Amino acid sequence: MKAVLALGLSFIRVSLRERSSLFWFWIFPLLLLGFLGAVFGRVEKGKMDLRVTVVDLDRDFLSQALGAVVREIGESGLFQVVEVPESQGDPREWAEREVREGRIHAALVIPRGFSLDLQGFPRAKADPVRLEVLYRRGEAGSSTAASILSEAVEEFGRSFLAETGFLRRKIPVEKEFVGGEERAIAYVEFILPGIILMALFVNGIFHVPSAVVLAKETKILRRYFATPLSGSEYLAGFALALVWMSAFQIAAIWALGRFAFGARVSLLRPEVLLYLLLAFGVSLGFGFLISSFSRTFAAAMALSNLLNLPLQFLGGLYFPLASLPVPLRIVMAINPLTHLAQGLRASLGLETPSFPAWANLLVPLFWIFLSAFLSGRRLRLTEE
Amino acid sequence: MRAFLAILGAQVRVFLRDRADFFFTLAFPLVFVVLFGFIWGGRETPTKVGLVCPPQEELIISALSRLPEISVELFPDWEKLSLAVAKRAVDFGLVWNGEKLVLILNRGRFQENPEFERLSREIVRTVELWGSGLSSPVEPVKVHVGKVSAASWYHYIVPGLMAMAILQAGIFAVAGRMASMRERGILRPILATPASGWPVLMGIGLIRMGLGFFSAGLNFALTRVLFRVSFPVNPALLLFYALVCALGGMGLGALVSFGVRRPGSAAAAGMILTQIMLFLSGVYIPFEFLPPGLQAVGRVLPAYYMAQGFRAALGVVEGGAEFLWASLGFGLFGVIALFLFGQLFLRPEKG
Amino acid sequence: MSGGWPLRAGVYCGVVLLRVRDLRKSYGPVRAVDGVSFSVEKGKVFALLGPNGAGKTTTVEILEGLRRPDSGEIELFGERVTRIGPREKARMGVLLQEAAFEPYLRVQEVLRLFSSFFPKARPPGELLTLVGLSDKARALVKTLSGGQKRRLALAVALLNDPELLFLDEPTTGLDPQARRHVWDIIAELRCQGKAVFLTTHYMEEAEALADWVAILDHGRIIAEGTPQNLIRRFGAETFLEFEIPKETFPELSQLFPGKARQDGERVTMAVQDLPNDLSSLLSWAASKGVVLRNLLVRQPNLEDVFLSLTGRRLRD
Repeated sequence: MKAVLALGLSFIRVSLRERSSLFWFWIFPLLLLGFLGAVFGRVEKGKMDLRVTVVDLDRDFLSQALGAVVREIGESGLFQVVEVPESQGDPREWAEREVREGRIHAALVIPRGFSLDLQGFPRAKADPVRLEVLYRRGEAGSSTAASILSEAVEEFGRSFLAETGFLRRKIPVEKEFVGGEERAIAYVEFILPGIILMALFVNGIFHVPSAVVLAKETKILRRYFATPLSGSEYLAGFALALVWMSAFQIAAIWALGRFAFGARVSLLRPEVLLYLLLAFGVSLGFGFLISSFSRTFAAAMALSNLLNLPLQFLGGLYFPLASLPVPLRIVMAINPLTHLAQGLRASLGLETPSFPAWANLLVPLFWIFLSAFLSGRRLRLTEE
Repeated sequence: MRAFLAILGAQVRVFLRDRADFFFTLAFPLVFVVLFGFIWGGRETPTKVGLVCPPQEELIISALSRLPEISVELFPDWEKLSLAVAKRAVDFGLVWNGEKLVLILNRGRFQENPEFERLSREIVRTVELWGSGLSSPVEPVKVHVGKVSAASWYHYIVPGLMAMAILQAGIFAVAGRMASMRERGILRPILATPASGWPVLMGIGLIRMGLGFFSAGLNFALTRVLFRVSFPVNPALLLFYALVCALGGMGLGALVSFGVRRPGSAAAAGMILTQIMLFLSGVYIPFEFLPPGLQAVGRVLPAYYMAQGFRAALGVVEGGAEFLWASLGFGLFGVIALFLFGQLFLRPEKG
Repeated sequence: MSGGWPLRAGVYCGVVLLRVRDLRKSYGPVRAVDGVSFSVEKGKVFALLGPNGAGKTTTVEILEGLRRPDSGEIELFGERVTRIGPREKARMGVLLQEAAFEPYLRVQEVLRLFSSFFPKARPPGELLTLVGLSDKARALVKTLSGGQKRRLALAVALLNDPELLFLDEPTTGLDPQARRHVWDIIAELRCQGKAVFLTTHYMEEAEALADWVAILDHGRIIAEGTPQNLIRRFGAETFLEFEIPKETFPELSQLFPGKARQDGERVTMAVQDLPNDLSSLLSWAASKGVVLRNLLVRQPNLEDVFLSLTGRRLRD
């Protein structure tokens, strides 16, 4: 026991003193949560630095009313409305150039005769008045700005008909949210379990090869085993260190989410602890699996990196995944992180899992047993 | 010249035999393209909408069928629909009783819910208008004015990935490979010969630059083959940006090596710098989505300009003089930093 | 007396702590250890001498429990063992040929960590003083020089106050002063009644420290005995060493057939009758106008023993 505790303490010391380890395992998860929380929390509140312009070629009361609507939307923080400079020659050309060259995300062009055509529309049964929304397809910011402008135009048209008494029917709309517990969930609350799982996973798949393969390669292990220390004591010491480190990481991530972003997530529920334990087991299992298939530390790191990001992204740790091609859906289904993420979020009341609860438990358990079996057969801590 | 060619050959052999280096330089960036391409590549599958409505209410079904981006699935009751939305069997749900519309959203689908809400508003408008015997008096028409006519998500991300591949190769050529050679004493025997140290530096730099270009080229080729994306390439501009990116990347690597005391930390510091640039360059996360503070940081980092430069070179955006000048400045910085690094690197007592 | 360090006669002699019979280990076609037998007594230093690749490290690692022998018997602390387990390791101290410690641990942390592996351990401070690393107690291992790391490894080997100590090339990489310091420690350990099993390719180390030397070559013990006995049995009375131009050696070897050996310009001659042989040599050199550079007369050593047994140098 003495040896196990001493080893555990040594592993933690080394992890805190090695700068790259300090950064990637202790600091990076917090940075990532902070970054994603700041970025997407802002987007969630409708704050993006989009720039749009309105080119009013009509300059009549209805076109000006439409322009005012757009500016009002802008004041909510969704975008900034850039006024067309007076001295720019053809305003539409100017707007097109600004959009094409990336200084403005989207431009609404109100054609000449807009107000007149709009007024005459209901009686004359004419074609709808076409307004151009200039944008850059494929670019996220520009597409978002264009969609907002398009909808503003549609809504303006509807309001016009309502105000002029043509619209006889007004449909009330209610919104209802389902999935997880009955409360509003912020993006940070959604991502916090993902970051915790990332931290645990990275801990396992990078620290285990370091403790096993690198220690063997640098002959540190053989020095240990020239003493009465046994292989199982060594591994127990390492696992203990990993438990402490993981517990601290989880607490730090939770604290950052709670106090910096107001995330209300309670980790002390039994089901939550169960999934965290499974996650710990999966990370250890993968770490030992990688170690047992790698002859050198460099090979182990290559394998860890190859698995790390794809499994994280295909596990839906950061974003819910929309429909994927079949091969990737299969990967998603057998990926233990997918099930851990769903199970953990479900147990935190953040979502209803798309996989059944038994799958979310069994798939990680399967991987734990498979890794234990394979690494038990293959892994050698000593040369003989 | 002989020494230079010999160094070139040796560096190629070293690279090919170092599997981990091979993987990280070439294979790893490809994983990103394939993965992100399939996850977020914008395959245009319809949005699945679940609908509960009385059988005689054809209006809403007609309104829904008008939208090409939607596919409709009918549900017998609210409960089943709610479950389907919760389990993501459908993207969102609508319950229509002829008077009121209830929009059912999955609270976990943060990114998509705004788009689902927009679609539902469009549906409501259509029903209101048709119910009043009207059609919309206005029709917003999106007009793509960007450079590439068939622009897609790939057109914006692939140039960024190419820029990052070259930048990263440049940084690690110096902060990784050269610094490591210095630390491990591999350079000393070479410096003890009549061969000048500059061929060594240039040989390593050239190989690493070549690898960066090769990695970028692989990204490009894979995108073309897998996702059938084509780019109207400006070869001269592409060469310009590739060169300044590589030189500037090596200059950054030199800066990192100067800044850290222990050579072994240079590679780690280079990795951290690369990751920061990745997130703040607008390559993976749209620049506009970043908070103003992070945007300010991003604009200081060269990756932002390199990504835009590559987009311009691949004909996706208009370049703009500011990017050209900034890139030229970055390239010059790289040359100066490399020269200074070489002076330090090649001094025998430090090598 | 052995190398100037006094033996403490009588008290411990004859108590065998390690006995090995017909130990064998092969790696494919290579017989790394080919039927080696020896014993190590309490209060004695046993040196296994041999060139690189002779099988010394393989032998000692088998005895340290780091490798498994193909066959052979090992008796440790009076008991036959098939496996070197925790019980045996608790009574042994080990200095490996390549001793590695976690680079980001401090020196005293390494000692404390290893202390926890044994039922009983000496205070780390005491050991640091013994090996001369007291001022480096808080230094990270990665900041230590090669010699300092070796001394730390020695401190770790002594942590559990072992009865039997395995020292695999203990002074490799050390400067002469540090080497002498380690020799002092080993001599003191012997006086304390420890059994020391030492492997080295430095013949002067074996001569200085060992009570018993076994010479290993290609996995076999080709000779063993006290250093003096070995030298007497296999070495000549006296050696002359000098330098002459290479082209004059054939003529010299005709004058002294079978006695002279050439190594570049350096010639070594084993002589039985020093006055006459020296006189003959000087006459020949004078008659041929050959200058004998760096001429010295020396006693035979274990290097000469190995050379006479194998025809090769220890350090080839």
